[in-house]
Amino acid sequence: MLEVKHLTKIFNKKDAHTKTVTQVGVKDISFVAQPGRICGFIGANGAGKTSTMRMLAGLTQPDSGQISLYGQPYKNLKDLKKKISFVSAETQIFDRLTPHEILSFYGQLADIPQKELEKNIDELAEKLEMKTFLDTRCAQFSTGMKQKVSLARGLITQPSVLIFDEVTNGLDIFASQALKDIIKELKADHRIIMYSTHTMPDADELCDDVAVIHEGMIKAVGAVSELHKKYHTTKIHDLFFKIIQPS
Amino acid sequence: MTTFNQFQLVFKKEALSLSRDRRSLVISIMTQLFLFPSLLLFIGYIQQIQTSHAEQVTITVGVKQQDQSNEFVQFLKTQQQIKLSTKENLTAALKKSEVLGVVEVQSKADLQGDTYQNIVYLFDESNNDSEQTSGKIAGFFEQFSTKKREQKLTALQLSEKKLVPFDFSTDTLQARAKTSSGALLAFLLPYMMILVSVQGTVHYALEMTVGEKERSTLATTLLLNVRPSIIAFAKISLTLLLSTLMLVLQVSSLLITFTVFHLASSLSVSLNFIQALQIMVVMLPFTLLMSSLMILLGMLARNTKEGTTYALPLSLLAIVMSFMSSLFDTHTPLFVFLIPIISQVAVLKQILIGSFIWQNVVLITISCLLALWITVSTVSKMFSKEAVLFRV
Repeated sequence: MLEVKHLTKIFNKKDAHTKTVTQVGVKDISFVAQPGRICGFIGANGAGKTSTMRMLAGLTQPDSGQISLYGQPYKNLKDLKKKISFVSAETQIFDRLTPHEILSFYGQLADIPQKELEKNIDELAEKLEMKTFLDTRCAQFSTGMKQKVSLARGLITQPSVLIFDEVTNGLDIFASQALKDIIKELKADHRIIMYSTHTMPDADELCDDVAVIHEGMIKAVGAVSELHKKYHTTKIHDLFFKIIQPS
Repeated sequence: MTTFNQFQLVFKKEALSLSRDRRSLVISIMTQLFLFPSLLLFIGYIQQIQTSHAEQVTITVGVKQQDQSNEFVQFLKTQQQIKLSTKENLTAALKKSEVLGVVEVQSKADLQGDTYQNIVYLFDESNNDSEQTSGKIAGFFEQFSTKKREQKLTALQLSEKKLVPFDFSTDTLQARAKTSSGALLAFLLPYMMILVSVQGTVHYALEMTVGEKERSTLATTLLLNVRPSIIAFAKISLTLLLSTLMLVLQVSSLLITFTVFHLASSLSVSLNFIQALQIMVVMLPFTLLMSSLMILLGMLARNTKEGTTYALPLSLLAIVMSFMSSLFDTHTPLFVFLIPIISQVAVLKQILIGSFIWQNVVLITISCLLALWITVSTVSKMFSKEAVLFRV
C-alpha cells in the first residue's frame, strides 16, 4: 500500500511587486491507497492535486511529512522511479521518436532484458491497440494516440504504483472512455492506482476510494460507499460540494 | 545497469531526437560549411576586381600649366594607362568626373635663386576611381622624380649611395596584411568565428532544456530511472559534441577555401593546416564554454522566447568584447588572456598573421576550462532543483 503521512509542500512565488511570497501547496495531508483499488484524488483547480501527484511520483520533494510504499519510506527505496508510473498532461511524449523507441528507451533504463522488453512492448501494443502506429513518429499523433503512448510508457516498467493526473483532459469521448476502460483493467492486476481529477463523473465511474482536497488540505477521505452513506449522497459531485461547503 | 550505460542510453536518445530535426541540423551544417567560404570568396573577388580594374583602367588626367612642366608631361604621355585631357576648365571637369585628377605644376625659386617645380595632384575624394588612381599617379611621380635625381647626380658624377649612406625600412616577425582586404579579414575572421561559436549551438542547447519544458517532456525525462545529474550530463555532452563538430566543420571549410582558391596570396592572410589546428586548439575550450553557458541559460528560462532573450546579451557581450580586443597589442598584460572572448580574438588574430604564442594559448585554455567546469557543475546542480525544473 501507498501511505502518505502529514505531507506539506510550500512554494515560493512572486507577487505583483516581484517580492517572494510563500504559498502553501498542500498542508498536512494524510491518506492511504490500497492495491487493487482506484483511489480518487478530487478537487478544484489549484487545490493541490498536481503538487501531491508530483510528490508521489518522486518528481518533487515534500517540505515535511513522509511517503512510504509497502512500509518503506521513499527515500530508502532503490529504483523508486521503476516502481512508480506517472501519466499526466505534463508528461508528454517525445514527438520525434516512435512509440517503439520510447518504450524501448524506458524499458532499457529499467534494466529489462531485451527479449523480455520486446515481448512486453508487443503485449502493450496489442492491449492498447497501438500496433498500427508503433513505428511511426509521434509528432503527427492525435491527443488520444499520444495518451496511449504515454500510458504504455508508464506501464512498460511494470510499476506497482500508477499515478494518473487529469489524464482525460483534452481527450474526446471515445479516447477518454478507452483510457478509463484500460485503467479499470489495470485494477485487476493488483496495482495501487491513484486517479486525480476534477471531472466528477469520471471519479464516479472509476474510484473505489476517494480523497477530497480543497485549498491544500484533505477534507475527507475513505471508501466512496462509506462517504456516500455518511453524507447522504449518491454522486461524487454532490459529495464533493457537501464536503467543501457544509452549510 | 552501470551509470555509464545509463548515460549512453540518455545520450543516444537525445542524439536520435536531435538528428530527426533535419531542417535545423542542415541549416547549422550549411552555415558552418558555407558562411566563411562565401565571405572569403566575396572579399577575394572584390579584391581581384579592384586590382584588375586599377591595372586596366585608363586614367584621364588634366595638366594645368603644361608649359612649365614639359618633362613631366612627356613622362606621363609615355605611360600606357595615362591619357591627358585637353579640357579648358580642368577643376570643373574633375567635379563632373570627366577627368580623374588634375596635375598642377608650379615653378618656384629656392633661396639660392634656382627654380624648382612643385607638383600638386588634385583628386576627387567622393569619386572612388579618382581616389584610387591618386596612388598610381603618386607612383608615376616617384618614378619620374627618381629618374630626374639619377640624371642630376650622374651629371655631377655623384652616386646616390654616397648621399644616402644607408637604407631604412621596417619589417615584423609576422606576415603583415599588405592589402586592405587582408587587414579587414584579419579583423573580421576571428570576430565572426567568435560570433558563430556563440550562436552555433544556441538552438540545440535551448531545444534540450527549455524546449523540453515547453513541450512538457522535461517531467517525462525526469521520470527516467536515472539520476538527474546523469540526464544533465548527457545533454551537456551532446551539446559539446555538436559544438565541437560545428567548429571542425567551420575550420575545415576555412582551410579548404584558403587552399583551393589560393586566397593567401591575394588576401595576404594565411591559413595552412598547422594554423587550422592552432585555431581549433584556441577555439575548442571557448566553444565548449559557450555551449554549456547556453545550456545554463536554457535551464533558467521558462520558455524558448525567454531563452533567446537571455542569449541575446551574451551575443552582444561577445560583439563588444571582440571589438575591445582590437585595442590590445603584444604588450597586453597577461591577465587579459584570462578573459574569454577578448583573449580569443587577440590570439586568433595572432594565428592568422602567422604567430602562435603558446603561453597565451595555455592561459586561454585554463581560463575557459575553469569557467566550463563551473558552468557544468552549476547546470548539474540546477537539474536537481525542482524550483528551476518546474518554473512556470
